[in-house]
Amino acid sequence: MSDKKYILVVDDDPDLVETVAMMLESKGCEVGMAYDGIEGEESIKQRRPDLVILDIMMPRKDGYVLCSELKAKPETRDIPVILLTAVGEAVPSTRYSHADGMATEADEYIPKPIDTESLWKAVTNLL
Amino acid sequence: MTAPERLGGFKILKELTRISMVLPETSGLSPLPVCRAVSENKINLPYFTSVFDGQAWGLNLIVEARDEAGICRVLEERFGHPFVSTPKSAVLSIFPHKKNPEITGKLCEVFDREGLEPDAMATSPSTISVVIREGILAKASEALFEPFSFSAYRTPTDWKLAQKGKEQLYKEVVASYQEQRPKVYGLEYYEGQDFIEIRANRKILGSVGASFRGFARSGLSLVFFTTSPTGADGKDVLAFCLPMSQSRAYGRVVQAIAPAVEITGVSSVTVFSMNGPHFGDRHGIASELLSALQDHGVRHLALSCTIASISGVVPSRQMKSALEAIEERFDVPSMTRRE
Repeated sequence: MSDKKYILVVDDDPDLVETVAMMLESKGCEVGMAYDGIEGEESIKQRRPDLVILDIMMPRKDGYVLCSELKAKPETRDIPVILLTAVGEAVPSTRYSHADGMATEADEYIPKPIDTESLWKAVTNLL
Repeated sequence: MTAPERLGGFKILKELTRISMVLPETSGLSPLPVCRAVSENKINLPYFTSVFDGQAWGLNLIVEARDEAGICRVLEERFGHPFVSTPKSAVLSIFPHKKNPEITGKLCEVFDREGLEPDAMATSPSTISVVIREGILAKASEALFEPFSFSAYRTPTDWKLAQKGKEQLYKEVVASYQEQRPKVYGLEYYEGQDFIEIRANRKILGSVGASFRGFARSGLSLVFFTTSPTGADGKDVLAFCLPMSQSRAYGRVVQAIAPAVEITGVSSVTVFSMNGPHFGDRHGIASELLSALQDHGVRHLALSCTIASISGVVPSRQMKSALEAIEERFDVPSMTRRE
């Protein structure tokens, strides 16, 4: 049994998933990758991650919905979730604002463009 | 029959126009002024490649159909140099390829089997993108499901349904990202690579695919791959990088297709890749990079921009200058050397 932390990265930008995965692997983590909310949800059912890094704007099921669902279920409530968003406060007309993100009970909320080292700090704080 | 290789997903960009140009070194033209002119007219390049084959630069520029008239006017007025415009093009991208040449090889082979001729190909760190005519898009999308399965989308229709309703929001987000100094998520680079160019007819796509699968059997990683126009009808340059330390292993594989092709190479190059927010949706990113490299005296051998990444190949002796140039013009939080 591996004692490596298993982190699931869910984002519809495959290059960003690759960048984050390589960073996490270089830090000794095991990484799962998913490219939208539904795939992320299925992946979590198959293997419980120690932490989820979750993009917000994604096809099929967005990160807010998935995060809210995870936090509503007793069996997944304690999985730490870091939300990433490309929106920040720059496009206030959307429902993807910082305040909306905090309402999902995510454990951390990081606006894009992310700094992978800052992301790693957030990961280590939550693990 | 082998089980399909499981991948994450695919993306399709439609209603595009491909512009291909060959700029002989003697013409005095280079990729930078072309990209700069395109950028000045706020025309985005969702796909761009530039390869130097020793005599000329081969460029593939993909623009949205609505920008076709604009880019043609700019190229005619500014440069008066011949180019070929191919409307009704599409970019089909699959991911992740994990730098495994087996996946690129399988993609080439299935296109060859189905008689589908790509107009261009390029990889990003995660993705293989194929430029094709819209007329063969449906057949090409279906063909992917023979060698591959996709966890996110079980059929091309699933993918189409998933994209609906997000277009306006994406436009607003992209518009919020035209910052002065573009930010990138990270930069990685691979030293000790060989840059190999094969000048070949597109009809040998199946052989190329078989060669790439041969690289995979030798345990090689493919950190850069793109194709480029040559100006000769039906002939392209296929440019890729493989580890110098494995030259014996890949040499045998390349030689297996040697009778039909011309092979050249540059030893000791560095491949860098960087990705940033919505790089594929914003104008001026490639121009900014080329300008930075020129200011630092760096002459790139090849460049490939697709999805949200830019990958480039520079001689190893210019690696330090190239990284300095990038750091000067882009907000780079980390640079990571990969093995």
